[in-house]
Order: sequence, then structure tokens, then C-alpha cells
Amino acid sequence: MSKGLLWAVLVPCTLISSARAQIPPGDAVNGKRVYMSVGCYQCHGTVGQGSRPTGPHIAPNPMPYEAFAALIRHPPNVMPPYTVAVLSDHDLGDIYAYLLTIPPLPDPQAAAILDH
Amino acid sequence: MSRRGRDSDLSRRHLLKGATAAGVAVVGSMRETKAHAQPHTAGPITPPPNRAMESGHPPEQPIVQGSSGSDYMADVIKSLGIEHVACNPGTSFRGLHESLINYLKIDWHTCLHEEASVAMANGYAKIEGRPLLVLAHGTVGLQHASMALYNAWCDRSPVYMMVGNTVDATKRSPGGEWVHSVQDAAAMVRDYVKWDDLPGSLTHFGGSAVCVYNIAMTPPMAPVLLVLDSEMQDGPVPPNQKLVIPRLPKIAPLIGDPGAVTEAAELLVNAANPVIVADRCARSQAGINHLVELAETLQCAVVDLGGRLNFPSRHVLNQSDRARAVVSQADVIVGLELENFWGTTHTFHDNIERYADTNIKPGTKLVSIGAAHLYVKANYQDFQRFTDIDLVVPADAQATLPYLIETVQRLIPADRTAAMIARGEKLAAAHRQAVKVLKEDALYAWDTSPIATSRLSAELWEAIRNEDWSLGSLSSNNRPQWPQRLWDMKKHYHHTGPAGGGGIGYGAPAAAGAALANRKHGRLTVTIQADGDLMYSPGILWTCAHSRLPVLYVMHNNRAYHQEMMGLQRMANRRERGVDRTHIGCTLDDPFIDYATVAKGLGVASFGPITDPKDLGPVLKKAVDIVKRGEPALVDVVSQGR
Repeated sequence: MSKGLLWAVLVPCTLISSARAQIPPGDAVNGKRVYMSVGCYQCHGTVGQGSRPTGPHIAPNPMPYEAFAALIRHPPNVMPPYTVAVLSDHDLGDIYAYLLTIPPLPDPQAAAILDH
Repeated sequence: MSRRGRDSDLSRRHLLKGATAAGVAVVGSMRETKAHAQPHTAGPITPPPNRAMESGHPPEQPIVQGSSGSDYMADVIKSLGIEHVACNPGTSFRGLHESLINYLKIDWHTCLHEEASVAMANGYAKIEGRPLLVLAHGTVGLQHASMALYNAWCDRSPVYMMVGNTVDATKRSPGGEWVHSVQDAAAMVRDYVKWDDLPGSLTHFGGSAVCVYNIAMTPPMAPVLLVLDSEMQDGPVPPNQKLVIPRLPKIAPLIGDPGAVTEAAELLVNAANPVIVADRCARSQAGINHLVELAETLQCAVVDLGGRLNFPSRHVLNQSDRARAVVSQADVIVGLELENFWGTTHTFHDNIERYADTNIKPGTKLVSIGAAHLYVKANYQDFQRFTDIDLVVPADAQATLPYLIETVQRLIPADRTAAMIARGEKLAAAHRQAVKVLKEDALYAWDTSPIATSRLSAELWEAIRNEDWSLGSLSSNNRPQWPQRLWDMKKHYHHTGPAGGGGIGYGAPAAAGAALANRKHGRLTVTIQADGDLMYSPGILWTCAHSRLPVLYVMHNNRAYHQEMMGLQRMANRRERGVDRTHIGCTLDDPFIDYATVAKGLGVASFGPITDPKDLGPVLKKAVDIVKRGEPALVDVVSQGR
């Protein structure tokens, strides 16, 4: 692996782990409930898969918590703004905890029909 | 027209007049009876014999007719090559109805709503390239059909419609015929039909019927409407009328001005990054083949916006998944039947303060070739926002393409060939990378319930990919466009785009119309059917069963009007009220609609609701087998929102 590529891999991993270290301990079960009740699933799907016209993937492997929270509070473009008045910090942390539980993508072999 | 027997002075209207008079006599007689009965105690009354009813028809009134105006109408309709009728019955066109089924014996498709009749005609025309006939009442029927006509208008689709009306007030039966009569029936839809007429005689009808057909079929194609007087249909052919069937001319679409075509070609061959954006360009396989030839000659990017299938989905020059990237790098953009040019070159931000950014570089040359420039109406705003375009060629794009190709081939400088090949190789590499990303995107939520729309599309593709298939319609909300991205689309009938006007209720009947067109070619018709769309005209499922239309409806059952709910969420959070009540008015739950049961009740084989993605493939295979036997089927798939 080249030195440049090594940095490209390591730096984001470090940022993610440091960001995750700052996450308040969240309740993933409540997070899933809130994720559905405040309508995240409408644009991003029930497991954060996203959809091209409505919203990007947000899970698995969600972005660092600080960036995630900043986007939720002050979203660009058409995403509804989730201010503290409509979504508490506690619930936001729980949503993030739920997104962390989303399993990784399946092995492409399990979806071999996509090659047809 | 064949004259079956000598014309008689007998007429059905006189029969009706007699019946009405008899009815009045009955009422009068019953009133007398009631008056006589008043002194008696309450209880059932047996009216005395009614001589007016029992005497039947007055001897001086005719009871049969030897010729019929509507037989001539049927002959004219036959001369247009029209093979099918889609119709919900109505007495204002009973004369023509009778002539078409008994005299012409045309293939008839009973619809349960006029909106379904028109949408079915729209779906048929976009596959077959010519219209079927829609019949309806001039008032209530046309009112029902109105939205579907608007969809067809925006979609540049040749819907051919006739409606009945009783013009002469003295010939209207009291009550129902008055509320079903109108001074100017076409007025309510005149903003979104290309032409209409109210023939005053059968000869006038003959000319108008051919004339409106030509108008509908001349690009820009559009719906047309004829209003037929019921008396003219029902009664005999008036004496001394020399009826002839007018000739149907061959229609040559308008080709772009040679000078303008040369100017467009010069821009294309001298551009570093030319991009072609096509929307409703290809109305047949020739249109797709021409666009492939042009793109391969130039080795340029093509963006297919999907109003029709304009370009093969798996062609390496297809850059539709990278539309914004290629448009932003373009120095020349040629739009082919691209009405939303402004939307292609701008990004619009629907924020509290709405604004837009341009997507293109300063100095990018824009060329628009399209028939829509030839015919514009003012009221409805489907013509889209004005764009600063360098060269407008008001002409049919498909018909102009061969001339553009020839000119481009002639003008390509020899020293540009290598650069063009290199450009094509870069685009091919970008296409392959986009496919790789696409397949990874499709893996997200692969095993999830509700079932991912990517999984739904992939499983359906697996079930049909070895057949001669047609995606009969696209619902307006099919925004992830998985079929266009995952499936190998290369035939013009592989898909024909969504509802032109975005009016819900198009998808299900349009798929039925597509199935009617595809049936004689032995093609399998499928559609991914939005749940909200189906509930506008679920009766079309009965039409499919009744008419034995081989079509597979795969429900995209997300149990909501999702787009509207997302819009509400933005409003609610903008106002800091939270989204916990935005389901109100948008969800289709409590109770969930059981589409398999709905379909079963309407005579369509059905499966589901399917909630486990592992069950989907085997069920789709069973359903496809039913459709291949010539019957409709429905699979209810509980799916993700988008």
C-alpha cells in the first residue's frame, strides 16, 4: 500500500473513532423509534439506505457524530431542519446509536442477480 | 359506407317522442287513479289498464330505420385504421356505440371510469404510435376524463376522443339529457387539446374526423376532440347526402431548416464536450437508432431524461446517471424534444427564499430541436421556464436526426477524430464506474422489510429479462428510476415514460393500454404500480381481466403519498412544529389496503402482500407464468418509500 493511500485510509478512520468517542451513549431501540416517528425514514429509508432523489445513504457506517448533528440542525438544501425545538439532543444521540446498529452491506454474491 | 336497405323516414327519435308522450300519459293516468282512490282506505292500489301503454307505438310513427348516421361515422373511423375502443358507456353516444359493436364489430374495452379510458389510450398510443378511440359523454364523461387528457397533452400523446351531446334542445329528453347536454362541450378541455370540432352534418363529420386525426398525429402530437350530436348519430342518413370517406393522407413530420441543422452540426463537431439531452425524442425504434448513430459519430455524452426511452440504458455513452456532471462540463448542449431546458441547466432550491443556480459554464452554447416550439398555449404552464437558447430549431427531432447525422459526418474535421475517440473512451470509463456505483447502491437495504425499491426492480428484472418485455408505464413517483438504471433497455417499447402532467391515476390504466398494444406483438407487459396511483382507478383491473390483457402489476406499496409527506415535513420543521402529525392526510394505513384482495375481487390473479424479500423472486415467477398465458396478474409488494 502506498504511503498516500495509507493516509487516505487512516485519517478518516481516526476521525471516525474520535468522533464516535464523543457520542453520548445512545439507546438504539429508542433511536429506531424516533427515527421512524420524526420521519427520517421518509427520505433516507428505514435502514438509512437513502434514495437518489430524496436523500443520501446515512447508514451503515454513518458519518462522524459531530458532522451528523451539524447536518441535522443546519441542513443544506431541501432537507427539513431538525432544530432543538423539534428534536432533542438526547433523541438525536439515540438516532445515531440506531444508525450504528445497521449491519454492513451484504456480500455482492448474495445479490448476484444485479450482474444480469 | 354500405347502405343496408332503403332509407326510411322512420326514425328512432320519433319512437322516443312517442315513448315520452306515453310516459306523460301514464303519469296523468296514475294521478287520476290516485284521485279516485282517495276515499278508499290505505293499502296497495292496482291501477286500471292503461290504454296508452298497451296500444304501443302510434301507427303513424316509424319504428325501424334503414340507415344510420353513426354507421357512416363507423366507416370513417375504420378508414383511420383505428382498431380498438376504450369506453365507459353513455346514452349521448349510444348510436355510435351500437354502430361500432354491431356494424363495424370493433374490438371494445369497457372501462369503469373515463379517466381510465383516456389513460389507457395514452399508454396504447405511446407503444403503438397511433391512437385508439375513446368515447364518453360530452359533459360528465369529459369531466371525468379531463385530468387524463391533460396528462396526454403534456406528454405529446395522440389521444383521439369523441364525446356525445344533444345539441337541439327540443330533442332532449326531460331530466337526464338536459344535465348531460352543453352548449360548448369542448370548452372545458380546450386549453389542453390541440383541436376540437362540433360537426353540423355527417359530411362535416367525415372531414373533421380525418382532420383531427391528422392534427393529433402531426408533431407535436396531442389529444384531439370531436363532439358528436346525438341526433346525427342516432337518426338515419338525411336524404340527398352524398357521403364519402375522406382520404387519410400520409403525414410527414417537419424537418429542421437545413441552415439551422448545419449550424447545430458545426457547434457539435467543434465542441470539446458536446452533450445531447433527450426527453420525448424517440417515438419509435428509429428514433433510438438515430440517436445512437449521432452519439457514436460524435463520441459524445447522452443524457436520457426518460420522457420516452431515447437511448439504450447500457450504452457506454449513456451518461444519464452522471447528468449533472456532464452538463456542467459541456460547451455545447443540444436538447432533443427537451421542454424543460431551464431545469436541465439550473438547480432550483426550494427553500424559504426560492432561488436557482446555473449548472453550466459561461459561454456554453445551447441548441433546442423540438416540435413543442411549433405549438404553445398560454394558460397551462407546461411549456416550462424561458431559457436563453442560442439556436432554436422548431421541428420534429426524430425526423431531423438523419439530416443532423449526415451533416455532422460531413463536417467532422479529420484532425478531430482522435480527440473524439479519446473523449468516447473517457465517457465509457465513466459509464462503467457509474454502473459499479449503481450496483453497490442497490445493495443497500437488500434484505430489508419493507422491501427496498432496488430489490423489487432487480427481482422483477430477473423474472422478465429472458422475455420480450415492455415496462408499460411508470408512475410519476418512480424517482429512484431503478428499472431505467438496472434493466437492459434498448427497444422503444421497453418504456415510454411517466404521466406527462404528473396527474395521479395514469400508471395503472396506461399499463393496460400498453398491454393492449403489446399483446398482438406477443410482448409481456409489466409495470411497477404505485399504490396511490392505483386507487384513483382500480376498476382498470377489472378491464384487464375482462379484456384478457396480459399485464403484470407489481405494487410499489409504500402505504403513503410519500412525496407530499416529505413536503409537509419540510413545512412543519421550517415552522418548528415537528413532524409527528405530518402523516395526517398522507398515509394509506389504518386500515392497510389489501391490493391482492382488491385485485381478486376484480377478477385478477393476485399474490401478497409480500413483505419478505426472499419470497419475491418465486412469486414473481408464478405471476409471470400467468401473464404469459394471456391473463393479468398482480403482486402486492410492501415496499420502502422510495
